[in-house]
Amino acid sequence: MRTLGIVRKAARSPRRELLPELRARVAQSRADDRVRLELPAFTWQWRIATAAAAGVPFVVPEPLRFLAASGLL
Amino acid sequence: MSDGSEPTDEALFASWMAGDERAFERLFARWQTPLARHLERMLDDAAAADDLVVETFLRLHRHRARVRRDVPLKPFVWTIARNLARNRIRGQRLWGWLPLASVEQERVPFRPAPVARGELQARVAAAFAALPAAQREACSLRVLGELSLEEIAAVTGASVGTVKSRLFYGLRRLREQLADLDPATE
Repeated sequence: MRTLGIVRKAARSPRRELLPELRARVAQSRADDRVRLELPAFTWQWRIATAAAAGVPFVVPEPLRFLAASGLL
Repeated sequence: MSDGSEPTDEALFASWMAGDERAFERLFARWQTPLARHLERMLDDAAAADDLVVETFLRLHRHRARVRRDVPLKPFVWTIARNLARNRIRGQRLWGWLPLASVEQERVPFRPAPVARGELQARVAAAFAALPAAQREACSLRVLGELSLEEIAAVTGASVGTVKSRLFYGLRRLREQLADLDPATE
């Protein structure tokens, strides 16, 4: 049918090269999907706090040990 | 392929899922032109059509794990494109209702834009624009997208009989509209 030929003849090719754009968008999509966990810096305040929390059960005597370790004392 | 035969869409998809990114790009190369032509007829906006072609394949890339292996790939991809095009048209209609979007109203789809186009392109665009939406979509999918009747039915959600009917009336109207360009009809 000639009409179909006319319609196809009038159709264009893509005006610009789309593959580089697709590659860039896929790369961007991958970067967006990646989750990066950033932990806070382990500063000296954190070290002291960690050492205190870990040492309390060894320093405090028994009936109070449990309360101290739970942060209630 | 070494024997010169083209792998099927499903074979390319399987290669891609196995880690071959080039297979994805081959699928893109295979479909980008018919998809762009079809979307341009739907949106009457070449730049928007190109954007949606890229967006369609980006969606396919993102949701590739959801693709069922037991159904043909082509209707799946064209359905993504169809939904994106419908969303875009819906969005443009919404903008047309907003008072500050009066300039945007000039870009309402389905109007032929003969500026900077050849007469043939403008005539064909006008002929498509004159069709009812369902017939325009069916004709565009068939003629420009080169989909089979079954594929068109799968994409549009209509029965094959309905697709045949839309094609029959749509192509007849196209033939009438473009009769003076077609020496065979005179």
